[in-house]
Amino acid sequence: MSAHEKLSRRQVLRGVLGGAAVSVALPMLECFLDPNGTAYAATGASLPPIFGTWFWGLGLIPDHWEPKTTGDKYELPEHIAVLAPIKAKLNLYSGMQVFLDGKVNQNHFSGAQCQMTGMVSRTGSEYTTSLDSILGNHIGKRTRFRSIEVSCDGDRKSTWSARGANGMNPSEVSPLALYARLFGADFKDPNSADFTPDPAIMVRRSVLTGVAEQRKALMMKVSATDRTRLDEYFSSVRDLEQQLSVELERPSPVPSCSVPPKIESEDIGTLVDQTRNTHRQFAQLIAHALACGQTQVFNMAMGSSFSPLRKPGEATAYHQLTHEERIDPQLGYQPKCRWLAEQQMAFFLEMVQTLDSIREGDATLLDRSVVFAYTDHGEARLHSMKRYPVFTAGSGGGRMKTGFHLAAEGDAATRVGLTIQQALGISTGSWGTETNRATKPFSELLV
Amino acid sequence: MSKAVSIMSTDMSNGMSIGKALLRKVPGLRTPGMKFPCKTLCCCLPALAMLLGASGAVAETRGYAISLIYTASYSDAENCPKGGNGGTSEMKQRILLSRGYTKEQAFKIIAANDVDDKGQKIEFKMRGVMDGHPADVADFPMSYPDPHIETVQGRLAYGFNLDGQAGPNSFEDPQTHEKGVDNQMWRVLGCFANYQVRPPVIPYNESIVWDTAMDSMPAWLVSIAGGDLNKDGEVTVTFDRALNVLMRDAHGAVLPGSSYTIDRDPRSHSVFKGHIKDQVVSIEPGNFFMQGESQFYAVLRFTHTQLRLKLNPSGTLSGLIGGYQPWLDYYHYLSIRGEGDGLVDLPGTYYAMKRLADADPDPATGENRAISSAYYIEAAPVFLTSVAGQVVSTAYAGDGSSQAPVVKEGVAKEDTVARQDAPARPAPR
Amino acid sequence: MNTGTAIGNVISQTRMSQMKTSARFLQMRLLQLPVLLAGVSLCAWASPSLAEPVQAAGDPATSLSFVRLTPEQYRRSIEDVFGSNIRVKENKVSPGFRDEGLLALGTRKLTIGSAEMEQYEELAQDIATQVVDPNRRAMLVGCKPKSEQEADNACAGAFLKKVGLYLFRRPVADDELQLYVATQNDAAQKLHSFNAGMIAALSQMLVAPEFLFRVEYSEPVPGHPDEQRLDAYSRASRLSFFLWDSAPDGELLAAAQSGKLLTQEGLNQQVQRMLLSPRTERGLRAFFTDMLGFDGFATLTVDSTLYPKFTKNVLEDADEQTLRTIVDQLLVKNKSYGELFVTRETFLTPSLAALYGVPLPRSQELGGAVPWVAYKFPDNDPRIGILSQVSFLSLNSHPGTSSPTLRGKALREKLLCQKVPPPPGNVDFSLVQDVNNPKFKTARQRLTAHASEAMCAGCHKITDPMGFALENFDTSGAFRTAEHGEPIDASGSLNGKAFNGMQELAQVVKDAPGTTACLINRAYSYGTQRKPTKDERTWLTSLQTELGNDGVKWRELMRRITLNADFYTVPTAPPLTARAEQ
Repeated sequence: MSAHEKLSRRQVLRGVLGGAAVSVALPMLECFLDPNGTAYAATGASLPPIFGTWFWGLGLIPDHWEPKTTGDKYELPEHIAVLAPIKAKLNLYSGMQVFLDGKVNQNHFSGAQCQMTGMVSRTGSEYTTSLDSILGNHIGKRTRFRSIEVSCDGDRKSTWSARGANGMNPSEVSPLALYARLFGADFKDPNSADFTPDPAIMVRRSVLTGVAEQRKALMMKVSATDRTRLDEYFSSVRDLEQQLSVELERPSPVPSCSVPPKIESEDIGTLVDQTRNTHRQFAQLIAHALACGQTQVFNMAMGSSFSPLRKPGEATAYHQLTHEERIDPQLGYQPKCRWLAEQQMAFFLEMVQTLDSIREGDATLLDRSVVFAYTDHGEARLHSMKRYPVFTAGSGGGRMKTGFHLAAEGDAATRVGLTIQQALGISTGSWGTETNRATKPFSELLV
Repeated sequence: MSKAVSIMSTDMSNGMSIGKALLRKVPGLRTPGMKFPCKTLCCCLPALAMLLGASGAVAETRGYAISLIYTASYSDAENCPKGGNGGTSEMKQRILLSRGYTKEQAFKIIAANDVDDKGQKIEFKMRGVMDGHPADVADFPMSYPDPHIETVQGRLAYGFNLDGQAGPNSFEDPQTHEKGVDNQMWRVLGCFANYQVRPPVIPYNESIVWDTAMDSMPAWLVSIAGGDLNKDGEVTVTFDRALNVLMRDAHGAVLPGSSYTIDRDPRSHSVFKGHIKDQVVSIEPGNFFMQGESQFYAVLRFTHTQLRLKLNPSGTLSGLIGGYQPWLDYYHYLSIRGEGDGLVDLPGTYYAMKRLADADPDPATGENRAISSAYYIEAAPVFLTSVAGQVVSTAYAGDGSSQAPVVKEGVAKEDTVARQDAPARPAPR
Repeated sequence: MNTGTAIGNVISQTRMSQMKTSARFLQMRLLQLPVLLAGVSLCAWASPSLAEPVQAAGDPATSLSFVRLTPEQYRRSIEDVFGSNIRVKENKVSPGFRDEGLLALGTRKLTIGSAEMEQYEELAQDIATQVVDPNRRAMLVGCKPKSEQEADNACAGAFLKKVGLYLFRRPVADDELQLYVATQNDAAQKLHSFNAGMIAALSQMLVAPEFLFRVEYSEPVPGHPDEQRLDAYSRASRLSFFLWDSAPDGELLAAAQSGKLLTQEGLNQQVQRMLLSPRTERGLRAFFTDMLGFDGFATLTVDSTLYPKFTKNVLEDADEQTLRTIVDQLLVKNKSYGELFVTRETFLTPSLAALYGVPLPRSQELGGAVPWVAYKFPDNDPRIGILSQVSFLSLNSHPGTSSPTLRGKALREKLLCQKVPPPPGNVDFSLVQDVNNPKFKTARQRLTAHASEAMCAGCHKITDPMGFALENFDTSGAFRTAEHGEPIDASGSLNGKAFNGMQELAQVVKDAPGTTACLINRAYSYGTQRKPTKDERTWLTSLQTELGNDGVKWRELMRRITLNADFYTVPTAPPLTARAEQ
């Protein structure tokens, strides 16, 4: 037996590989859920929480989106009135701020960076572990995909997700490709009665195991500056091993899981209708992937923070409009920008409603999720770092109260990230660096 | 081209003067002191001369590619007093009624995808009878009795007065109000629902066929040469076929300013004397022939051809072409597509065309083989070049309000860079 | 002519004639490798002495550094090793970010995330499956297994050792090889298939860090134990990725193995050989694609409602036009870099010609392949040099309006290596207003109004005057003389030199000393994938002076850079990186 074989860690399944495949028929029935629909009857375990981020560029029209009162009896201002159908499952945070602490404002970068990583860097090439990775490591280790990143404007670079300090996770931009990745040949329907571990997948996994086992030897030799990058590569190898391992295990039946209709065509682009359509396709795919337990973490970006969103025939794209469109003296705002901002709010509504439309017993997929919606500037026209509009939707399985407007004038926007971390069970007292270090969660929301 | 070289080397002054005249007429670029590359210019001259024949001084030749063609339909309330022939389901209904079904039964059968209440599929296509066997009515229209479709009775129709007379079978053109318009083709087709449209709406069956042909069929070209095409005067109008298919812009329209090489095959080369009046081009009647490569327009040919083309300020052309056309040509367009796609009653159309044809009597039978017709056409401004690479017509930039190209000429030559690594076109991103 | 060049010729001829037997030439190449390395036998797979990790280059490496392969380098490496019949699916890894104006420098900071790993694993499976495909196996694998249903360690070992040398760009050590052979053995047993075993082992190599990253091994500089330089194999990789944008070929690896590459003479020999190879074109293309920011075409939007001539074909042809122009000028015609800005020679496709408004005689194709045609714009035509090409004009515009600011910024940053500060926060752009404002019809009018604000004036003074000279070209790159009916004033200035319109701007850019300085600096940074040290900057300045008289020729510049020993040093402290550009 070779050295490699001795090192192989997956001896357990050898027997299966050598002999006949396991195939046990199991009926798939609603009775697997307990009467409340939130736990597996067999184990009593709660359905796991879900964390998602939803990024849109260029904020909202200042003074037009903040409700006049706080608490749970507030009224939605007209600018965001579209969110009314989900108001009870939504929280709104106003007055939030990102602090630069003397560093250059990397326009359209620093603000989103801070809300996702807790820090503002000196340069745009520094970026570190993002909120979704922190939460993913805590809640989503057992899923087929560690997380799913998508962007609706065709730009792979539209992402704010990173596992460490060495580059961001590129976004998937094609709904067709995402469909293939999630529900293609490698998808194991958790509700399928038959399950046969695929020996070919076992081989693929042991190939990766072999690679991963070189880690130690290489890490000893690598230069200090490259060590974390190499380590991250090996983490990625482990992730993929894990993903294949999950595919080798019999999935627990999930009543709410269904394969979404196959996506037949896509039209990727930056026109409002194209982005809406792409977003809709992604929303459906992600919701189904979540319901089917394929992942517990997702990151959706409407697109680049320099938003290229456009009305057809309109010469100027959104980002340029924020700087060039006249503020209508009668209305007191930039009308085209407002329209585009409201389109994005409508997209957000659609995403949240898509999650809410999948029933799991007497609750919904949204109910066990926390979706964190954030943007790059308080007032994009001026690259303002104040008064950021921030939203969360869903209660993370009853771990966070919803239906509130919270005004925290001048507080670090990282408070929202800290609150979510604590709600989803990460025991940390603070998050962020320098003035952006938040120590006080919105405790009124924590259950 | 040896002749070009000889002009350049021996008679430079003559060559340049014509060249300058040509350049002056080219709108758009006004770079002072721009030198016209002699090589290219001189090469154009013989080609231009050939194009014009003996018609005298030529200062400008504009090139066009036909971007749209369809039956010049003029739908009108007076056209079909009996209510018209409808579409495919009306045709089926008539057939079923003639076979003894009730109206209700017929309706149910058509709704059930041609299946009767006993589960029997009703055959329409093979409804003809030849030698006692079922026959396809598209291929053998005479195998089925004439259903006597309704034909157009109205007063107005697009077209031309081809025979110089105004008789009881003539129309009046709704645009020019010229009397004596001959368009018996329209009389045949105009009561099918599909043709009951007016420009800019295109009969559905022709619209989809043309859209497909655009991407697969060598382009049909027009060039207009004359002294100053912005003024009234004599011109020469030439039709040719290209070696290239049409290029489209981002909207799917023909790309203005694209280049086409003229096919040397003389078959599709038709030259007409003509004139411009108030920016409308007309021609002296003659023969027209254009080879197509599509299901529908396998060939387009007329005798006594007439033309009424407007030179639009944007640089495009639009208007009518018409003449006497072999009626079987158009019948074949329709029969290839069948009744389902063509949306006409084929035997009905066949008998009507045969009956209403108004030219070219067969010496043996005395039956007319050609029928008067008119088509609406549009053309986009493009560059035309000869197979040898000479530019023979320029793409007219219009009056500046459009995005038509600025005209200038450089020197194109074979790609001399060996490039084994680089793809002909980068991989799609 | 030595053996290596002959093999190079075999390869290029094979490509040029587009033979469908690239597997055959690959086999030839693989078969000839032992001749190069050991000069013993043509029986490649049977020779145990081949590609032994001979430590001819001195002490074992002391430190490793990792640089991720670009998607293009990945594809090329596969094609170079296995032949172009192997189809490499689109690689959708993140392009990374720019550092010092170059993706090449940002690449040094990239790792491989989970989603990217997924892709690489899928690619690896796919490529390995193709290589051992029954139709190719005889050619590519070279040996026949004892049984189709069983492992064959001898056959696998010979193959993996050979292929490993090319994939890892260094010999595979015995203990490493054992691991890969074991993978093959396990998988073949489990799946009862020799091929499955080979797929497993080969795919394992293809997801290994040694393939996905260029691993740079360093060693002490002889006589200067406190300084570090690249070892021989890493030197071969640096040369090859710089000059060819691909992995080293057999001859270069042989020079590394023998240690000759570490001598000035051996290096000189290899550089001369490499610069004569047609692969130099790849290197040139990769460099300018990076320097000119052509990765931006992946996300470029030009509003087709407003510019219907900007078709998908134009989008696909735009960067290729510029790259062909550059290859033609710098490699084929051996012109100096400055010529790129004033040449009227270029190449057009029918779609580009329509956008430029020029006739382009088309061959007799009927919707098939689109040929490129060499084309020369007449003297005094406003189209002059690469700045007047669609690639530069559209890439540095807004989707619906041209932007003197973006174009001026690109000129400064991409071609003159200058830094333009980002707009400050809290800027009120309301003066710029909308493009339909009847008071401000042209971009110049809008920007002049905007730049009269004191806080904006500083930066716009830097960018706009250069960009104004390009205002005769709209977003799509089409020529125009008016915007919204108002005649365009295309006068501008650079460093106090006034000019009017494209032609004069082109001359000014060509003559500016910063233009060649920028190229030299970018090329050096691109090759080392780091910022030059202080000493290196001094050397680069003197290089510019030396090359200055004749203008900078591409091959000469490459030769000078690659023959400089500093090009292979490993700075002890990591160089600082500046802010990545957005």
